[in-house]
Amino acid sequence: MSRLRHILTNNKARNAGVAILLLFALCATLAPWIAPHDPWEFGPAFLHPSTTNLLGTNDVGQDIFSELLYGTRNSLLVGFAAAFIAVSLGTVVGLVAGFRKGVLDDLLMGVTDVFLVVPMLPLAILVSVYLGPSIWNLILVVGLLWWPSTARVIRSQVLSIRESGYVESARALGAGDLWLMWRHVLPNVLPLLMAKFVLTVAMAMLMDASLSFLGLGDPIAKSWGMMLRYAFMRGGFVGGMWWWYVPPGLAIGLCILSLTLISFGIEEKSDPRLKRVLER
Amino acid sequence: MSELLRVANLSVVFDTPAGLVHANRGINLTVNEKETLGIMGESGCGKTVLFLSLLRLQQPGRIASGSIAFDGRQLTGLTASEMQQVRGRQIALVPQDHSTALDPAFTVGQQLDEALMIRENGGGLWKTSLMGCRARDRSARLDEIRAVLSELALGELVDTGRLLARYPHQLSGGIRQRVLIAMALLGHPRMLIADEPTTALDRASRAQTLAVLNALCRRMTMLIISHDLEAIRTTCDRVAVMYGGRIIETGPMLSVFNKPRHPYTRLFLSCQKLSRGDDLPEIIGDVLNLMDFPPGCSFHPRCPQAMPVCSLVEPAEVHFDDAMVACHLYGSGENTC
Amino acid sequence: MERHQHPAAEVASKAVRYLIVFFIIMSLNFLLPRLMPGDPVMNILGEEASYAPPEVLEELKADWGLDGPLYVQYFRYFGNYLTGDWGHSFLCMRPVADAIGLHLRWTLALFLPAIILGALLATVAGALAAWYRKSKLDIGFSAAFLSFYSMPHYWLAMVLLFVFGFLLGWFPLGKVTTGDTSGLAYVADVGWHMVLPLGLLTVSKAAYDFLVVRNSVISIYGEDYVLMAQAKGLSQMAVLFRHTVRNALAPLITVTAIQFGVILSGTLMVEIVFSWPGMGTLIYEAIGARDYPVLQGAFFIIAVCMLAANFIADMVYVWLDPRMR
Repeated sequence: MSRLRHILTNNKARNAGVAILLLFALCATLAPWIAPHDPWEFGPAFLHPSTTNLLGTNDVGQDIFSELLYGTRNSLLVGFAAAFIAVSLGTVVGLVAGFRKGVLDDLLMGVTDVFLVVPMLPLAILVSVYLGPSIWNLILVVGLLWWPSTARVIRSQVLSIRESGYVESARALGAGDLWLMWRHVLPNVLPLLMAKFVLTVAMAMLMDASLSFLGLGDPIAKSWGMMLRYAFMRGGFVGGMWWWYVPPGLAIGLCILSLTLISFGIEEKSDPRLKRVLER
Repeated sequence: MSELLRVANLSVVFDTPAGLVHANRGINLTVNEKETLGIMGESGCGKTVLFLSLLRLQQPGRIASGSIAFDGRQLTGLTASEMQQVRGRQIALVPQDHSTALDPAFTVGQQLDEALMIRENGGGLWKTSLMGCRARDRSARLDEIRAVLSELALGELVDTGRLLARYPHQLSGGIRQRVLIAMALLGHPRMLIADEPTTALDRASRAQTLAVLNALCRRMTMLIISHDLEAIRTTCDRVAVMYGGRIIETGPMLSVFNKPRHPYTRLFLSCQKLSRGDDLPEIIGDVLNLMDFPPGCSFHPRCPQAMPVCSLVEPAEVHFDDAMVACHLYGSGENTC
Repeated sequence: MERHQHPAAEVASKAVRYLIVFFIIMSLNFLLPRLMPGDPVMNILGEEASYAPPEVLEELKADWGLDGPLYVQYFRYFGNYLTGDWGHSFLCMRPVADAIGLHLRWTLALFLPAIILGALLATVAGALAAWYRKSKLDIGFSAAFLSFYSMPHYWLAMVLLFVFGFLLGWFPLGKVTTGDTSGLAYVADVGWHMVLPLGLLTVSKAAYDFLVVRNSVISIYGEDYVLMAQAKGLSQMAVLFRHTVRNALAPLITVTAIQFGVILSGTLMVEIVFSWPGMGTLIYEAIGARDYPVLQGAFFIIAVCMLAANFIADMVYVWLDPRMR
């Protein structure tokens, strides 16, 4: 009973994170039905918030509230797609490097080290400048650049797991590398992988928003980053129209907060001083 | 002999994720001036929590009831800063594990100097930093540190100047242990608590440490927590035996060693005394789970002399002239054994 | 943990590794425009390329070092970069190295103090939160830093500027100075303009570090030497800040090194909002004008700065832990 209560209270932060994320997912799915206007439709510009336009309109008269709802789709898509690419790539690199010690490991970890040191944003800027603005390019850029930290973590886990008794004995029984990875290593790194994935989604969303703000996103697509860009460039910021740029930033922040809560609000360590009483 | 420490009915509990742990349950004990008391018991019996509570360092546990009187003052009623002045300067601690008790980031000299500055200036962050300390110049403090080290026979073993510049990980276990004793002595405490002073040492260091403790116990009040019978025998005047968070027997060292009253003490002593090769008598059963006490005497599931009453009623303390036992075999004081 | 070698050997092996990374970054910088689909000149010129006569295109190719076999281009590029010839900016019509030299100092003026102040703030706040775990102080600090951690930096900059610049008028609306001042007045003026961006970046950096410090202090206060420091009679603050925090710093250094890139990206984005004449603003304008030489130079210099910062962090790490010396 007390154990159950303990688990529930311990995960309060994570539950809040899941709830916020589900709300955003709902907005993304239902956007065409709950949005009061078509966000691409032009109309009277720079309207203040009112009952017809909850958050007013932008410089070309598009409804900001509807833009915000449609922007959820873009952020979630970019975040999850890019994180999927990045974490898959990182997992493969980490598993291979951890299992095949020697030259291949050194080589892969060398590449990983380079990518860890290279500043992501300037590199992403450079690549997307050459590739041109499009949501798929954005996903590719973030996905292909953000794998090293996953690779690092997975490799160190693999190294510690492969030293453990059960992998040794499975190997002694003649199990192959692929089988070992699939049967023994992957299940063990799965929780870590989930946490890493969720954090990468957050990083990808932030990166997407930054690149869009810099003008490297699709100019027609509705995304929170583009909304911030237009508000900043086309008078919303200078004109003090906070209802234009505060909501999209807040939405990005809430999304990232919920993902962060899910990934590491989970485990609160127990008091290390208890070991003096409990350990024998 | 006047009384220096009196613990009465002390109970300490811990709230853990898995439930409430009763680490100490109604502890009574006294230590007289210049006397050495040994506390014996298996690991997990509550010895550690007992001495941590004397320093009020039992956190995150809390003292649920009872009192600790030291030199006539109630330690349980002191404020945090008053308690801080008791630590090190009234009651000093020699910890069990010399390999983890010294801060790896500071040299031995810095850590000894700190103990000295605490005695002179109090324990504040600024007052114990080199910049904040003006009471005496450094060389005078160094002289005192050297004097204490040579008293512990460290001066002959190693070059003290080089020792002070070393980091803990560069020293051997025996030297570290004596550095810790020196650190405790630099506070000029009235009572010294030594927690398992010999367990983490090799044979040679153990003999040297015993010699040091033996010399110290002649002039100081000490509380030695150990299950090393030789350490207890060479240093202690009286002993107390703990089981399941309670003290189940006390008495003069020789009489407890020669004529143990409690069945647990008897088994404990015979387990430890036997040399290699003999058949070890076993204390059957698991070590006690502090979270889940059996009703009655907590030792009864493992006791070879258990009676029906033992599983029903917790035995009261039965007092003799200078001894005490908590066991149903000694109902109302008459010796049935 | 593996056995560590002699410090000098350690430093030397680190230096060699960083040299290799430097080499790879330079190569990456060279390869990026040449790896992209299509002809690099066409990519750079866009639609205009189809109107230009072929001989002009050839001339441009030579100008940008895109003529000849790849390995010749590579050696020429390497020589040019090392001698400080990073090409000409399309936009401001001057050598890229000059433009970057002008802007880099303003970025560093924000970035370096933010890193140091942020680490200090995080250390104090994280240590206190860990020590008084589950108190109101801990929950307050954690919630505040976690929220700060989640918000995009440039958006926070916009909100801050709106509230403290537009609405309250306490701070200037951007740029580094108001105009003609010199000497002490100039320094004071720059300091005045720095308050908002520096404050924002400091707290952002602290937000990244706070949880790290808190976690590592929590795990260290179960150590025996912390108990021993208390048993000696040290005050709470002396135990916390001398014996606990000192040993919790190593993870902070590691994280700082990993987060350099993130904080730098934050600095670049925040600069744009504050019209701060640093690398961020330079990059922003270069993106708008498709000024490729500037973007490549900016990437190169930022990567080199990151490399240097990581190297320094490695050295500090070795110096902090006596067991590694």
